[in-house]
Amino acid sequence: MAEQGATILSTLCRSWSRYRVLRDLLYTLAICAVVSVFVRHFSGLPVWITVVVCLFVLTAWWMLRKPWKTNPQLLSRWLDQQYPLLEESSQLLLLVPAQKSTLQQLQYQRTLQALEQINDPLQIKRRLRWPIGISVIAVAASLVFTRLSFTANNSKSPVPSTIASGKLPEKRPPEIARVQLSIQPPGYTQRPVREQRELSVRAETGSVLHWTIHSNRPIAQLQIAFNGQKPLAMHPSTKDSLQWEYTYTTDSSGFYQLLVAGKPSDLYQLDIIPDLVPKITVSSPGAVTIIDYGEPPIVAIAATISDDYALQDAAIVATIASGSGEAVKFKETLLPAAGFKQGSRVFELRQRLSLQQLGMQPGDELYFYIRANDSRRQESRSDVLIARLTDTAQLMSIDGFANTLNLKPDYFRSQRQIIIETEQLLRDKGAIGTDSFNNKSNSLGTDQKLLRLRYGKFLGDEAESGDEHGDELDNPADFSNADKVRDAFTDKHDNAEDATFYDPETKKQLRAVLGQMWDAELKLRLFTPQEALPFEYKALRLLKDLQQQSRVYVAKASFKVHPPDPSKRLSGDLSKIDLPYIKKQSPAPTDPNEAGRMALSILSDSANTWKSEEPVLREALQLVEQAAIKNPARYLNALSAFRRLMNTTEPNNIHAADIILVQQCLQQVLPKPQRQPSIRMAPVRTETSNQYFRKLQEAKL
Amino acid sequence: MTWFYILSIAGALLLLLLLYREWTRTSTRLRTARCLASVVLMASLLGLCYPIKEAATTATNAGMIVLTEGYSKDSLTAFRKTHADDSLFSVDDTGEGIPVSDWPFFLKNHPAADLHVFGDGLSREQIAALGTRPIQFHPSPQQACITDIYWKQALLQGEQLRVQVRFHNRITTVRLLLRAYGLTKDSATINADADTSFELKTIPLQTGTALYELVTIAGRDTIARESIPITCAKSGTIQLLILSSAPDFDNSYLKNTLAAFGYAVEMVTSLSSGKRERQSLNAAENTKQAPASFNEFDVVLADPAALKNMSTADLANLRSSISENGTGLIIKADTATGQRSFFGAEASFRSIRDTKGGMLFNQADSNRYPLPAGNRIALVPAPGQRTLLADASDNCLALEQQAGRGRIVFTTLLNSFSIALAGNRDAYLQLWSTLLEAAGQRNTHGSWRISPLLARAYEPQFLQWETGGADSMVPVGTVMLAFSKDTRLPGIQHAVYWPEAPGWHATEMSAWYVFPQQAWQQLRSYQQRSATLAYANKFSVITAEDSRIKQKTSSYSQLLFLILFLGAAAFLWMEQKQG
Repeated sequence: MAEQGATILSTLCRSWSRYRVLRDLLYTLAICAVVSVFVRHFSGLPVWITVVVCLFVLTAWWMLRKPWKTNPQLLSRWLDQQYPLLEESSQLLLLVPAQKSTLQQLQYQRTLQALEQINDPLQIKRRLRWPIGISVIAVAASLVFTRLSFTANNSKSPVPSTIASGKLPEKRPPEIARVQLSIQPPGYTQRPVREQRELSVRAETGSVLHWTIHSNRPIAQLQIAFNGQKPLAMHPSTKDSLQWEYTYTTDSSGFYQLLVAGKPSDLYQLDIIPDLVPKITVSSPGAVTIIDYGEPPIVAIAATISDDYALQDAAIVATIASGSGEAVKFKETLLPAAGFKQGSRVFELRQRLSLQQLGMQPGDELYFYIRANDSRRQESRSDVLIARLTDTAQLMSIDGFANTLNLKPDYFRSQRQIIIETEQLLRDKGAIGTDSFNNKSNSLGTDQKLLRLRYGKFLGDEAESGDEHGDELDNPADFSNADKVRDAFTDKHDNAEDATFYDPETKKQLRAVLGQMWDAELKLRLFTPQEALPFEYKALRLLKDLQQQSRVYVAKASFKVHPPDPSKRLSGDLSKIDLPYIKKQSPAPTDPNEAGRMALSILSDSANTWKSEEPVLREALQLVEQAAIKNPARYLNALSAFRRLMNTTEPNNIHAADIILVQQCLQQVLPKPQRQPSIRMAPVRTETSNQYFRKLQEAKL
Repeated sequence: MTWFYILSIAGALLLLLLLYREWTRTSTRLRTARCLASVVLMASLLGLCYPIKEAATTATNAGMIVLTEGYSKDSLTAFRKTHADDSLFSVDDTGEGIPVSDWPFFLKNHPAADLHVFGDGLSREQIAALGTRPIQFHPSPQQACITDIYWKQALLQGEQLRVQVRFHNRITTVRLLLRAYGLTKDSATINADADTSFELKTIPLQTGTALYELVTIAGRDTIARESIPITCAKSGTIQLLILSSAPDFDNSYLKNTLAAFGYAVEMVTSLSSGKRERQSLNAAENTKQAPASFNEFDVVLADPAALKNMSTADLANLRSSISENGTGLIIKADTATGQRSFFGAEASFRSIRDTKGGMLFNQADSNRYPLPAGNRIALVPAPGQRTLLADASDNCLALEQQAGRGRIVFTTLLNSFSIALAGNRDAYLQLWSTLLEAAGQRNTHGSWRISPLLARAYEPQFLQWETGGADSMVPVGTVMLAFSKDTRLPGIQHAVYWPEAPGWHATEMSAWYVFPQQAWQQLRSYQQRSATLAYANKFSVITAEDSRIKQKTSSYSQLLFLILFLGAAAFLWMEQKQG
């Protein structure tokens, strides 16, 4: 029983904490809703900024007030104030039994009974009415205000945009009571047949559309015309001609209209969802993969193939080129994609190609790409990737070194020599002792270091030993020689002999060579020449690539032919050579959009003048029709407006909104006109100007 | 005033302290009186520290207030408080004051009265009628408006429309939009408190007349909406003769490009001694084997060697054609142009080393185009020569000079085709447009000048027609307008046209747009205001002696404050002593 009181009080504390948190949240919600409306209306800032600020303020408020902590002492005091029934004794509930005297225990019992009789001592439900009410009202008011201002903004713009947002409002002929349109997508899309009651269609490519049109009275003839072409007759499916049907297979976007007894209806959208080709994204390997000496001859392929409906097939097409010069042989292999499942929409390809299993030899190249087909038999290919197996024998040859321009052949022989000596050392490993082996390996490392330092000079690196200048000041007589002291302790960075004229790309590659030489030297000094070989080969390969860079092809620069000196040219008799007189007539170019350009201006004029320009307007209408066929969602409104303008006989019935719509459409459809060279108009020659000119000429003479 | 505020705040704080002390004293005797005495004490102390002045104005002679459009009612009300006797007149339809229908008569009737002009100011004619009479101008504040604007109304197809604007902004950030048929083509943002000049550009898509819009938006409000009328016409043809001393791909490329536009191009290329190849593209049907003279061509394009190889007679014909007929000559110059020829006498060169490729700056469309790398020759402009093309380092690559009636253009761009082959075909066409337009000209039989640019309905428009003919009656719209010949310059005729309706008005050779009367009101107000302000500053009426308004200020006697201060202090002291 002693614990029961404390339990009740702690429960009440928790309820009170929850109430305080909930109350703060509700008030914050109300304030946030109201403030965000004002902020958005007057400053245009988005709602989330206000929410963030309010949450920040709420957090700061909670950090200060800590509503989740309720002091039981304070709560008991409050209960005593609220409920005289407790006889100012609720604090006894907090005491442990050992702390209470007999009288206190008796009073404790009375107080506990009294507390248990009180129903909902904190009256949380009643207290929450106000916060809930205020927050609901605030949120509702903000939503209403937002909706009103949105409606007001929309109603300000009198011109409907050519870019339709959502479905176009449909106007049906009055004879048509009901429309049922079933869309049956192609089987490979695995999508179900769907029915709709609207005339505007959005369907997959190749879908079969079936119209069932119910009229409210018998119609003599009902036709359907696609993209402004010849109308096609619909078939009555009942004898009383109250129900008509037509079936059509879609393959391109456009528009159509119904003709009831020859009277055309409004234009309806026919929007096609294209079936996209499969998308292949190759994440590895890169465009060119070079497998150097010592690396495993494996190419790891990681790619993602996806399609909007279903994948039918995926494979890797690999072509191996071996040989060189005119003796190159190609062998093509088709490798199925590992783990591919037909019908999936996304496939992650993870496959390792073993070049040895493909029969590749050092020096051969592998060209491969990923091919995928979707369920519509559309094929997609990735880029061609190349994998090359380095031929170390070819690297060791000196072909091409004779053409070196900037780098001296001695250095190349040194790197080759190091490789040769390393391989020789490895062959002799069993024959010579360990000490001798290690010494030779170390001396090779030293050679590699010296070679590295020599190359480092091209990049302006300093000498490493640091004691190159030490002997210059050995003579005491030179101690006061300022020039020699300066030479000894300063670095000459402006020495023309040490300057390098390489571009940053060459320097980067030379830097890479040095890096490989570092690693090779490290391995040699660690007496592991076997591990040093790949680095040595790579350094040699990079050096060869650098040397062959000078063979890049550049675009032919323009050149001016020097005028020939006639006196020195052909001294033969040319009198019988007649040069033809070439005369050509090319038709003046016609701008296919000229009618559209003129229509922009004509439509701005009074409607009374349109009749005389009707041929131009008809041609411009065709331009808009073509645009609407390609993009009905965007331009169908404008086409309808243009047709209304052309068919209106009374100038008073022409709406300015239609004109603006058509002009905006033409603005978006017409390309920029090409600037043609022209000449200016000369000043008019009057007698005065002629006289003045003659006087000037005379004065000049 | 700052000192006044500091004293007031300090006094208020001290007063609160005094009141607090008095109110919380244990003795409640004469509490109210004590509080009142504290207030009087502080007030009198403030009066002693900061003398309070009273302004008294006396008016002498009554003047005249002239209201013009756009006047500020607040300014007028404040002014009339001190000028209650001034009569109120209005020259515009402002709704207040006595309307003035005849301004010169009004001035004559009130020769001595001081004039105070409120609003946007007086028109040019009204200022002229003032003579040297001084006025005082009270301009209405202008917050944001276009202060100057220009655009070329008659454009060729593909030519860029450039609207040059100067804007005066004293409110929040303002945006200017150039709109065509409801779509925004270009825009500019002008920050608050800035006077900025900028250009709005677009390439018109239409052929014929069009009315673009210039919309000024401040926040969500549209503060101005004006029309920008333009006409777009197709380019005419060009008759071009190319003389080449050797086969040159640049010439061939230009020939094919211009021939594709339907232009008539004739190219004569020297292949050997006495052997020339001749090509005629789009020539007239009856073109003979050789052209009769250079007068048949609008422009001759040649290199110096080809000109040197011409016979003396041909060279003289060419020179005569340029100076007398106005035929243009474009020379693809290099250092061998020849200083002793009529065409190279003033040409001087210097070579520039360009290893990275520069940018060609064409002032015609303010665009920059990349040039291929290579050593180039730059021209050195002499007096009388104008630079047409320059690179980013201001090296002149093309210039023009007058030669009689015609012009000679020098250019050192010998491989302009590389610009087109690099994908910048528009840049190539614009470059040759610049060169051909500078060199060539087509003779006309008449030219029109219409002013002002922003003509309005029911306002006079001044038409100037320059013609070699003798016609003096010209149809303008539906009216036969009679022109009067200029007394000093024969061949020039003038007329004043009063359009009754806004819209496009045309003669057989020219079309222009007449704005409605309310169009460009802000610009007109600004110009009117500037003119009136300039006049008022020049003939200002305000001097120390002539001031009508004598400001008299007097200070309340500080003795009074001293007495009050001493009295309140004494009362508080005595009460304290007794209490």
